[in-house]
Amino acid sequence: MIQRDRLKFILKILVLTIFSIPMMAQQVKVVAPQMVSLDEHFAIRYVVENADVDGIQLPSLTDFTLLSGPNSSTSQSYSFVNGKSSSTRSVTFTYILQPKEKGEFAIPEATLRVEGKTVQAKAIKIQVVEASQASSSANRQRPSRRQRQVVQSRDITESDLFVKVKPSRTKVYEQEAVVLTYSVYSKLGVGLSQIMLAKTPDFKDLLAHDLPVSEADVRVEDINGETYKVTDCLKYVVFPQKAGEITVTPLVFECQVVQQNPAMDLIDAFFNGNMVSKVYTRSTLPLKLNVQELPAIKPKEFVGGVGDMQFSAELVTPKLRANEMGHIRIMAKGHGNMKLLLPPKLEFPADFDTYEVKITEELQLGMNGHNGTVIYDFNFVPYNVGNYELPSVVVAYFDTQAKEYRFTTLSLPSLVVKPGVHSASEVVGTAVDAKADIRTIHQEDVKLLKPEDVALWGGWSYWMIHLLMLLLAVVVILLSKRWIAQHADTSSRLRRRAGRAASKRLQGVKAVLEGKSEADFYQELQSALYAYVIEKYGLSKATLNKVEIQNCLEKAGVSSDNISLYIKLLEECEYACFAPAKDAAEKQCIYEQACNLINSIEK
Amino acid sequence: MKRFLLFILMAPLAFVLPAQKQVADSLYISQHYQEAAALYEAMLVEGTDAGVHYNLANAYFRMNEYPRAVLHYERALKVAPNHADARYNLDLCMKKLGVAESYADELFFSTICRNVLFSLSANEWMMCCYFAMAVLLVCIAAFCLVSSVRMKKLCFLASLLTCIIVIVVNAFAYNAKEAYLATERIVIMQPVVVYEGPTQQAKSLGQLTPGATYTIDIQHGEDWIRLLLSDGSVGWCERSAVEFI
Repeated sequence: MIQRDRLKFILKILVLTIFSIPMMAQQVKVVAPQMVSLDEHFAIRYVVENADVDGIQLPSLTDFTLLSGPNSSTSQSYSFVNGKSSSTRSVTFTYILQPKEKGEFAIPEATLRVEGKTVQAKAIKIQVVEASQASSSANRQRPSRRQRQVVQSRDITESDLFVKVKPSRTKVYEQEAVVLTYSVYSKLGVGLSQIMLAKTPDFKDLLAHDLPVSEADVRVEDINGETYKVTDCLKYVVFPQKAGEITVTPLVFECQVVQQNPAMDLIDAFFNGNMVSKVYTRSTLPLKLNVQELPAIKPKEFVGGVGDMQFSAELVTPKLRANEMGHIRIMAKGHGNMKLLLPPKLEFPADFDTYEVKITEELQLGMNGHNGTVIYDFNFVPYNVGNYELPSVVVAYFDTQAKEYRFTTLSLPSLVVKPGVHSASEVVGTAVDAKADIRTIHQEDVKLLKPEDVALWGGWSYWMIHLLMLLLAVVVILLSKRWIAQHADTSSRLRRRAGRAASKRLQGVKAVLEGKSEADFYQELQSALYAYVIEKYGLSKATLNKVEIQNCLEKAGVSSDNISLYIKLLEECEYACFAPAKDAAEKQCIYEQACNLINSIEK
Repeated sequence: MKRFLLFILMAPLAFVLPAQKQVADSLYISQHYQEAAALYEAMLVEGTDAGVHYNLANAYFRMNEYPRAVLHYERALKVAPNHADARYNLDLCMKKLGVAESYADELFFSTICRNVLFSLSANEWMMCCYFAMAVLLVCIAAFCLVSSVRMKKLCFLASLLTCIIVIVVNAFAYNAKEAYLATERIVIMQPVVVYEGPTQQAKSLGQLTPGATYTIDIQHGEDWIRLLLSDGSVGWCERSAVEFI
């Protein structure tokens, strides 16, 4: 079917061409289809051979929409036949038109300036028929392919190329997924070769995720009678993070358009191709999203989910031994803002050791947000043996379809904890540790110190106090020395010493008496008596005689009885050299007398 | 509401210092931990005391703010290293957080010396210094004043011994003061990443758990500090996530 239509079309062209040749006044040929369907674009070509064309003008068309034109192209051909070389060159001007209504319409004459002369191309009649189903898509494909090859040579305006953003929904809830589709609208004939974002988008108040776009998202749209080729180049899934009116920041695109360079001359164009690419910047208009707040009273079990979700809980280790790791798994399955869910809070019994929840996400980005499962793994270690009732957890999320909060109660079976493989004492030890609590506060009154007063060592006050102590010590020593010097004269010291020395000597005498010493009793006693007097009264040994001793003792105030006794004892000792030895009893008696005498003098 | 009213009623009393602690203590006992903590913090603005830090740390512990509790136990121990309750509670807290004690930077003392050093507070060591010096001066004075040679010898030996004691005690006192003044120990307050260099673009070496104590050696500008890690290596982390003891 399609092939036959194609053939028909080609035949039409040929016939027209053949008929139009004799009709041309000059070398301008007009090529156009005789019959077109309503929704079909078609091309009219004006061909001029072997002449330079300065310009072409087509009067405004009321019955057709000018989609593109005039687009010029030149061709040259050389031939060498039978020794004769000949060359032909032709310039073609193409207009792409779209019929507006059914019927028969005429394309008015076009005016060309050929080598300084004005030439008219003839008018053409074109019949517009109903769009035919079978050939519609084929015909639509073909003209657009041809049109894609035709390039505009003038500057591209805003109406030729623009970008639009379309949300999947304008009224959404906070955190609900919205898909923003960015489409590039280009008029047919605009050779769009590349579309790029000028800079990374910064979506304020929106959490945006890039959705991959399939290549085949190209379609044709009619806007205000003009036909545009639409390419969906970018898709974002966004989650509004706050309520109110959010303005989606416009995205700036850089579009690369391939155009014919009219300034190039034909030779250059022939060799290098007269296509040049220009970059046009287009941005979308700011888009306003009406974000509704989630219903006011957020239940305390709300985990932040907006969308459609199912929750389930599982006690992975229902039978546990003490001190072993237990495992509870909670799964959230569905679509929406799954990545922004908060983990549910599980209340474990007091003597369980709990760990941070581990979150695993198995999500895919789709049209309604993130799609998939989020797994929460709770690990814990029970210390004691027993049966534990694990409390059930209620989770709430906001259902965007039902527009209300939905609650799910996750109940867990009871946990049986058997004695552990560790020894009982170990278990008890760790259990006690787990139950251990901090010591209580101190309730005494405190004195707040300034931080610099906490450690005063080496500071000013420290050295001052040391200095004071040193000074005190020095003063005390000096004073004491002076006092001693003042109050203690040598003689009195000596006198006291004399008494002690005497008693020592008398001890020696006693030793003789007791037979411990070999020395002579009387000599020892005599020396003791003499030494005592010398030491006590400072008499000199050289001038010592009994008279002096007597005088000295008198001066010292010793009683006359004692004095006479002292002298008598001395005489006894002297006489003992010559007198016969006395017996022990007598010696003892004398000794005792001497002791008593000295003691009484000392007193 | 009741809590709030209670706090309002107690608030005027907060201006009287000795009563302030009693108010805070009674708030703690009646389990109004947050209000008690607020009062303790207010007291600490005026000055420092080991008992207040200890009570505050207990309050934070009850509020389950373990890194803050660790911080204040450490501060209490800084002022009074012989505070047995603070040390016990700190150990418990660290066990709960699962962090090991880090003594990456030790003074040149060994553990025994450290124990001796921490048996008294800095000012208590200073009092010991005064006492030792006094004894030394007495010995010297006795040496100067006694007449008998035997006594002189005795006093000389005593002075020598006391001199050694004075030197040792002063050394301890100096170190106690240095330990108090040291600003190199920090407590991690939030989970933070440690990097190889003072920038977030450097290679990350891991994450630090809150409540762990570390010693720092270098500060880079306002934001970055270098820590000595437990395995002997160094790492950089952001200053905002830590508190100095």
